[in-house]
Amino acid sequence: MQGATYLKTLAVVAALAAFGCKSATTDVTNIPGKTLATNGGNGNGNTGGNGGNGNTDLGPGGTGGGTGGPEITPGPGPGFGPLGLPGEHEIVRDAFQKIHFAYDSAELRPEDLPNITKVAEYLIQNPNHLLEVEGHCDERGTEDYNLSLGERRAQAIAQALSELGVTVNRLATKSMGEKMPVVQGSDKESFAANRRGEFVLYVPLAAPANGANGATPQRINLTPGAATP
Amino acid sequence: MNHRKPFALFPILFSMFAMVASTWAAGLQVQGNVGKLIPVALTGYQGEVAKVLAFDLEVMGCKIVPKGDASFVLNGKNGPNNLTGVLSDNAGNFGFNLNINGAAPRVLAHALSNATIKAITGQNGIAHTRILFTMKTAAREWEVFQSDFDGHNPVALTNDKSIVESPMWMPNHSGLFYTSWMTIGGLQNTTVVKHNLKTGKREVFSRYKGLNTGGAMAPNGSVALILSKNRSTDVYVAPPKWEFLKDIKGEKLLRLTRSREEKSSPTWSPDGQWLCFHTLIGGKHTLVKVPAGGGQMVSIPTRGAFRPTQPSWSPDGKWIAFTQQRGGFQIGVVPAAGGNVKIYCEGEDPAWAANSRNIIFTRRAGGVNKKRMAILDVPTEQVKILPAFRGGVGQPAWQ
Repeated sequence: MQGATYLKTLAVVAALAAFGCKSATTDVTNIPGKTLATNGGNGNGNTGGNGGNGNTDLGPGGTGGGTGGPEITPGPGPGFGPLGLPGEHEIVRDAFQKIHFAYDSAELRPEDLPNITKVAEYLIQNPNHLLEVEGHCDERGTEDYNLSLGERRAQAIAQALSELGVTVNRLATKSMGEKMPVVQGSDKESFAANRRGEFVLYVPLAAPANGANGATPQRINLTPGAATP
Repeated sequence: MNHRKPFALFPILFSMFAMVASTWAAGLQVQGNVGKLIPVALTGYQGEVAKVLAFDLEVMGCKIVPKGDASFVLNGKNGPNNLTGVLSDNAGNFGFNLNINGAAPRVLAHALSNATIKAITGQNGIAHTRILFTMKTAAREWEVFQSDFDGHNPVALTNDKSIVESPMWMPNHSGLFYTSWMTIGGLQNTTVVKHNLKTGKREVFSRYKGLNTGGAMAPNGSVALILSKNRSTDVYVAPPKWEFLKDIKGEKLLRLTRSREEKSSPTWSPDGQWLCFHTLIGGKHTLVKVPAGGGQMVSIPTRGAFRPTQPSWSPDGKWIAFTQQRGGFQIGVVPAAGGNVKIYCEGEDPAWAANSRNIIFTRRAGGVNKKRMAILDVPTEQVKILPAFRGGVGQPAWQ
């Protein structure tokens, strides 16, 4: 399993390296088709209109890339690797209730612990499923700080899940800072709704049957507490 | 780049401005001595060039006034590819006579602005410099842009249709780092990207589990990162020429902190000996610094500031600009060793210009997605607002 994971990760890296490392010769990398203009002021700035698209798909290296590139150590076990997921997954959002936080705080509130416990129970009953915890902030903070605060919120939830028995390598955290508010608004209610943790479930797709190339998604019962077939 | 093409520079005589120049060349006087705006008259210029000259000079501490009120007069004319300028003081003493050509009108005007500031103050101008910033280009999409310092001629550097934050120049300005939420291997995660501006080539610089941000490069090539790979958000330093894919476990990274508290906005001292960043100590927002080679975290006193974040170390090493959060957001400056702060204006995301007197920042105008950039001239406290973009902009970094 680990060998397969390694090969898959390596293939992804190689593909990205081959596709994404084209070089342009201009001082700046223009983006095809983008046209933006300044409003007001005393000029009419605009973006460059054409150019290669070599930068739009990222090569992870600049290190040689391809199969001859640097050695990559896969993540431990079936969990999240540093460069991606082991295998194909269906991404399921909003399967669990959001967790909310006080202003400028990453402390879990007692009333949210039952919801976190339900998530932990689900993961324990579905040992092949992976979970990403997103941390979000309201806009009352600088972008830099909110990025760090969002991560701490995600880490707090992940830590609670770990303490409830979920293996750490099945958990990933991701801060979204203030960039993805669930409610647009600058009032207390909007701020409170936006200070949150969200769960993103990665459900492995079923293995292809009889050598078929396409995988059929498993039927998943996302009712907390229900086990998948 | 074309705005750096050589232009005909006739001898500039500084002697008659020696007294003024020596006063201004004595260094940034942020505290105590508030600089006075230099009254300058512009005569003979038309259209866009006239506007560019006025904007540039006001950014760098001048005030455009009628000829009768001016201490200095800049007289000339502009054609499609040519610009002349004669600088004199109000007593009629000669400063320079320049004929600039070989570039677009805005570039010519920036060159004349720089020459004027050099003659009047003895300081190098910043009108030829470039900035990086993020801009919202669609719902839930941000890209990194590069433009002239005044926001004109913006060029998109990314087209990832994702979130991106914290663009930062490499010290030699040949490239930049930024934090992207790009998807790799089926997984979206924060990734510090290294982007070569000469070739367009991009690399994953850091993509561990959890948070990857920072990307502040020191003069010696070390790069400060903020990572949560060990389940707390900490500051790390990658040695020069370090490669993520060759150190996938991060064993060659120097871990500078070990605490649960948030860390953000790493900024190097210009000599690369210290790394300053924001964290919380005892629940209190604090600016701190740590020796580049590791060691005790030292608080930087910011007396008079409330919730200081986003430090930015000035290129001359003397000052740290920061964002204060008191109600809204304000731009403050404190001596690099700490001390009493001075709060200047509403704004956030401060970044110094190379002249260590101008600070570019953003200001919210009706919500977080409606931020505009502005430039503060610290000695005179004059603020100039940059042209608005359709999308909100953020986190400018000055070349």
